[in-house]
Amino acid sequence: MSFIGELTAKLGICGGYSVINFNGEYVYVEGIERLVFVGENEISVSAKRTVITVEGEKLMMEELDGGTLIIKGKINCVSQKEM
Amino acid sequence: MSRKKKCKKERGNTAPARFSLSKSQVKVAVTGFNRARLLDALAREGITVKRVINITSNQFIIIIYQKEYAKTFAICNRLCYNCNVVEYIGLSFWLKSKLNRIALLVGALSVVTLFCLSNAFLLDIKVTGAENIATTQFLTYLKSNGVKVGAVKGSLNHDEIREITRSFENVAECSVKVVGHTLFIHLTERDQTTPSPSSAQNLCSRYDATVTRIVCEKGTAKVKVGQRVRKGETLIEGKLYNQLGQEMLETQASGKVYGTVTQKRVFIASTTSYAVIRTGKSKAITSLYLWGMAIGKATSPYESYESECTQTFLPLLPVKAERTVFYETALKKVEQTLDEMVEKCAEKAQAEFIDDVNEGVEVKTHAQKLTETEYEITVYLTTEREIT
Repeated sequence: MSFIGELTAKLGICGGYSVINFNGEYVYVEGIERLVFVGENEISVSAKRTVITVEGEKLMMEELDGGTLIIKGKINCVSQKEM
Repeated sequence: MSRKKKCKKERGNTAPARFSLSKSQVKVAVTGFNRARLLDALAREGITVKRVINITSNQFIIIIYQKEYAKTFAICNRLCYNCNVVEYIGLSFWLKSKLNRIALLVGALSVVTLFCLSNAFLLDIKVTGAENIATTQFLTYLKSNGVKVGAVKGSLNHDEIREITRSFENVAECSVKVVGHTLFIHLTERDQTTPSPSSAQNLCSRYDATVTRIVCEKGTAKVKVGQRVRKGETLIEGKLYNQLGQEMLETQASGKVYGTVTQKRVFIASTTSYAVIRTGKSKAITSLYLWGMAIGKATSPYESYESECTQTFLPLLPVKAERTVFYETALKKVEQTLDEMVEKCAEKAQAEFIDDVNEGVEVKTHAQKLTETEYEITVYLTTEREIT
């Protein structure tokens, strides 16, 4: 089990998504289903009934693998919205 | 028009297929600089990108569901990205890629199945140790008791087979073993010989004879050289006497007594006889046996015939090939003189003579006419032999 998986298990959270902002330079998102919008200043992904939006400058997808995504750039804001 | 042509070219792509139990996916290599633009376009169209792998600055690989490939391809074309399939992922793709091996797989499975099936049946029964017992008769007896070629090996009970074999006439003991497809039965026949005279209390004569030699090891000889003895008469007695003729002690008689024995054989023979000879015509017919059941029957094309049969077992299969050669025969009239007949009868009598003969056999014959062509021929065989 990954570190995040252990943490969510400890918190009693089952499934869902996780977002980690590393120093405003990287954002790690886990539990995504698909990309919604990809742009230089905004990247949106969907996770079940939630759309997670990462806003910033010079954003690029560093890695997309299965349900995980790493976004690199100048991160200004990370928000989520229920669909 | 050009887009349709490009689509056709892509479908003909022979990219490798990888086995996976998940939903069918396609790995597409995309060449183009603005990766985000393509991903955004795909995202807007609702295409799920499972994975993105960077190769170089202008080339990357995306993994999408197979059903969304056509749409992805159209989007790539519209945005002037070059794309091609580098791998198919999924069970259906993998099976299709193995179609050209399906015949080999089916053949291998058939051979394995046939081998396993044939392994379950008995294909041959070998009988050893039978000297006086006719093997054919014994095999027929086994067949009537359910032990036959084609029987299921798992249903054979070794103890039952032993009991069945021991119940056969003149079988004292037996061993039963199954090796591969063959049932091996080794017979030990009952001892038909008479008990050794050397172990009897008294040694008696087996024939009417004239005593020629006496070798007495234990006991007292009751006959003399030159004496005529009857069958059953005591030759060596199991007792010891002193010089006064008084009995001293009892012992087991041991020794050998030899005598001249004359045996008589009578034949009725005719100067005119018929012999069965082969005309030179023959025909060979091959029959196949599958699990003991015959496919095709070998019947003779001739009214009168002799036949020879050879059997061959095919390896790994429960199939036996039986080749029967039929030779046409005809009766031929044979004329012979009296002297020829007498000679033949003498030879036959000598051949049937039993084996513990010490010296050469003296043969005398006598012929008596019965009818125009028939004679009664008596053959007298005289020889020295052990009579105890």
